[in-house]
Amino acid sequence: MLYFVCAFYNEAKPIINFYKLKRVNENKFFQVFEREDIKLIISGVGKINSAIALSHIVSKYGISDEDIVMNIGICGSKNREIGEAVLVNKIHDVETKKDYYPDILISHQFEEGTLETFSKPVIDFDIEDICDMEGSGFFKASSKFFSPHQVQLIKIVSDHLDGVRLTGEFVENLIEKNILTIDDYINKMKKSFIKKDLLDDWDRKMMEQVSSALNLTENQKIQFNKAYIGYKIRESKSPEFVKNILNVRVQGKNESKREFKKLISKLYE
Amino acid sequence: MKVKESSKNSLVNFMNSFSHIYVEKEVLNHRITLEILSKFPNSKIIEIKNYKDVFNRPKQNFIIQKKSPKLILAKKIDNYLYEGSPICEDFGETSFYYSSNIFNCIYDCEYCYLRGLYSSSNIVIFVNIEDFFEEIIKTTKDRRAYICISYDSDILAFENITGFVRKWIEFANRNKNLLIEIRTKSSNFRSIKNLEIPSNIIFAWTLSPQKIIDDFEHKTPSLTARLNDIKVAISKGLKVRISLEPIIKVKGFESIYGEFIDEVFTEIPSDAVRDVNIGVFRMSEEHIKRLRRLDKYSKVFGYDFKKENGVVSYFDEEYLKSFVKERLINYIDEKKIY
Repeated sequence: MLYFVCAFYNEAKPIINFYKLKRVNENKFFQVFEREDIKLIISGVGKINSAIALSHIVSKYGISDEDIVMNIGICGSKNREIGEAVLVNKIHDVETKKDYYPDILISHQFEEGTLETFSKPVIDFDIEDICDMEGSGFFKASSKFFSPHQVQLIKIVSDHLDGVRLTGEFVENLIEKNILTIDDYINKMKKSFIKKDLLDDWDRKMMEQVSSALNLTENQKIQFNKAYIGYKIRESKSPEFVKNILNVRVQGKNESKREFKKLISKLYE
Repeated sequence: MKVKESSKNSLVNFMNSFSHIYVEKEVLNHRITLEILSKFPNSKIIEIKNYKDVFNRPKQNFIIQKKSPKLILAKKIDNYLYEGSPICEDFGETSFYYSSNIFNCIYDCEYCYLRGLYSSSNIVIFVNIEDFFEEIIKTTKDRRAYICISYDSDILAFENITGFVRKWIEFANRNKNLLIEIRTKSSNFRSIKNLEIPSNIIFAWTLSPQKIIDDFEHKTPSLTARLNDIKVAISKGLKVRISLEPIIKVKGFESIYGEFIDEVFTEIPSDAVRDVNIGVFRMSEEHIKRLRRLDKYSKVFGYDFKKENGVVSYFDEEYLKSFVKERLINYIDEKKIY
């Protein structure tokens, strides 16, 4: 699953349009948009809101090692140009003084930078690089569920901390101009984080059928699975002979135990 | 060959190793930090307060991080010297210690205990080597002490980055009461070949059959490259230690290990070998569980294990060991085999 957390609708709109997401009407707590493999939640402004929204959405739709969780939004900066997209490699919570570090493992086309998260809007303040009001909350909550390489923040510079009021259309334009670069990065991450599975459908079916035919205990099932995987690792092929066990009519515990032992030693032969 | 191609493709999107270097604020201006950073002009430098803020983060993925490992430059503030574990070979030496200037390794061996030892596969380099030396002098005083400096990493493999081996050699030269072992799978001896190596430095090469290198010891130099490196050391008059550890069970074990030992001693004259240590793959029960959680399809799990007193090893551990030992005896005095 690909999760997006945005603070407000204008940040989310270009993403919703690009990925053709549909509103989930039954969610009473948040504005959520989705398609089968993407969920986007609008958190509201602030680090606590961001943390709550992230926790809500992933608890609802599930957590896996292949998920990617992204916070996309605008930020302030004194030195960078308006419209520049920054991939965050360090987050500093100004209030708690704690630092957080997403793992950046995949090549990308962004500038990288340090994000400072404030609890209040910042006007004319000395900051190191870029600042927002969500980053640390989003990352801290995400770290409870995901590895640091799965959690990424892309911030687009919208102002120079000069207190200028931004229009919704302006914010949408900033995100939209970077959407292809963001999508390219996401696609590379997705491809790179896919786990290769040694077992195929035939293996899984066979492991289940054999366990059931021999009426294996939980402990025996663990031993059988290890032995089956061991065979496949060693021989680089499935142990086709295990299907013969399905023709054996096993009567009673002792016979089942005998057949199980025979099978295990054959798998380790 | 096909497997190698596909694993190459899967790495296409990953950033180069050390694309990011995290540096503790306190050592930003340390001489060794500056030297290391000068070797990576394109890396992103990220200032940190304490290496543990990056290295010990929760839920890191050791296996994925290995595809784009980062460097962390830090200051070690304690534990410069550890007492050697009783399950490690001490070669009959009393006062057995090990010391770690570097945590983790550039290599990626599937059987390595570093998998699961740390929650991260990023590499920590403690740049304050002078503090290690000071503490070692204090701890050992004028006693004899045997110190292994390449247990939690392969320090020689990093020589072009850190220059630490050169410093350890100079340190050994000044402290003759110490016997220092530098264990490696690298072919990097050539980087220090011009140094004068004192007799209290032992270079030990871990060797494996090429089949095991291909299947288990990812990113390491080939057997031929390691043997060539050993020959450079021997040509300087050094007596080297050979480490055949871990011995890994594999289909066709006898022919693979038999031919491997024959090859090693065809290439390396026996009288240039100080001693050989052998050890079959074994690990604590807790640690192997961690290894399985990290990578349940690792080739390590091709064979069944027995458990004895909390230690996991192959059922035929003794046979595998004695096969290797018998073959070694064709080339080297049994007394030199540990």
